[in-house]
Amino acid sequence: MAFEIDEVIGDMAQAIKGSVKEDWPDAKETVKQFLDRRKERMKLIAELILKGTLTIETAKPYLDIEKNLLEMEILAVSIITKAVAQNAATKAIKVLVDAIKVAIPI
Amino acid sequence: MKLLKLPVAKLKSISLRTTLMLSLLVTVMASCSLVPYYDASVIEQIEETTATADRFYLLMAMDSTSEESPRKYEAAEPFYYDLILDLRKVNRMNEYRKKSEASTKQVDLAIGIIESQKSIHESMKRLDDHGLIELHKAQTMDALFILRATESRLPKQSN
Repeated sequence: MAFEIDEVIGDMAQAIKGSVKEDWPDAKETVKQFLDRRKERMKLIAELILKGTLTIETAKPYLDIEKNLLEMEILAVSIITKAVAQNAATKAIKVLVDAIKVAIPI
Repeated sequence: MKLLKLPVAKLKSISLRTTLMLSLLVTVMASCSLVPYYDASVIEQIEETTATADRFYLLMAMDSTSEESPRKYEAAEPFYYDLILDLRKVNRMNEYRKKSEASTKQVDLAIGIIESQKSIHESMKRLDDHGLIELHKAQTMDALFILRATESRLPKQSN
């Protein structure tokens, strides 16, 4: 059977598009959850300062923890984005391998 | 040599070259993973750590008078060590996974958060304010949430 490279490339592009479309809403939802939780924590710190439980000085260690949490979130977004790309690449490779298998039966 | 110049021989040669190139491309793309694969045992370990943290903060919120109340630093210390040791287990699992540098860094940051909370608690001796307990709980639970959310979005390995 002939191997139509243009058709295969088109199918690979479709597989990538479909995979990203499928994974992206989940990734976006995760980022939204991070932001919502961050908002709640910030509100809590502000309330504790306003109540006088924390001062600007004693709030500092908690703000340093917030910095670590932000770094964790940024790493999470980077990992999740790469995972979306890896899923898309895997699906595109599958399309290519299937097309080769059809063209050259092993 | 003359045979190679024949159209059929040329076609066969191109077909072989294309096949070899595609095989090479597939091998390169397949070996090029960007992140580690999803690991159910890592999720399990994070869940176990989350359960320990949940128990710790529940006891802290409820029990305020007894000597064993984790509001008192001495009673809370073993819980902090349990959390740190549980997270270290996650990183030992990461050691066996390819492309896990960013995941390892995330766990190191989570361990740093627990250590910071431990030293805040130690300097205060007791943690009695409900708002502060709530803040400690939120920061710990959210660090664990980030780890779980990241792990659950990793690609599943298909055999």
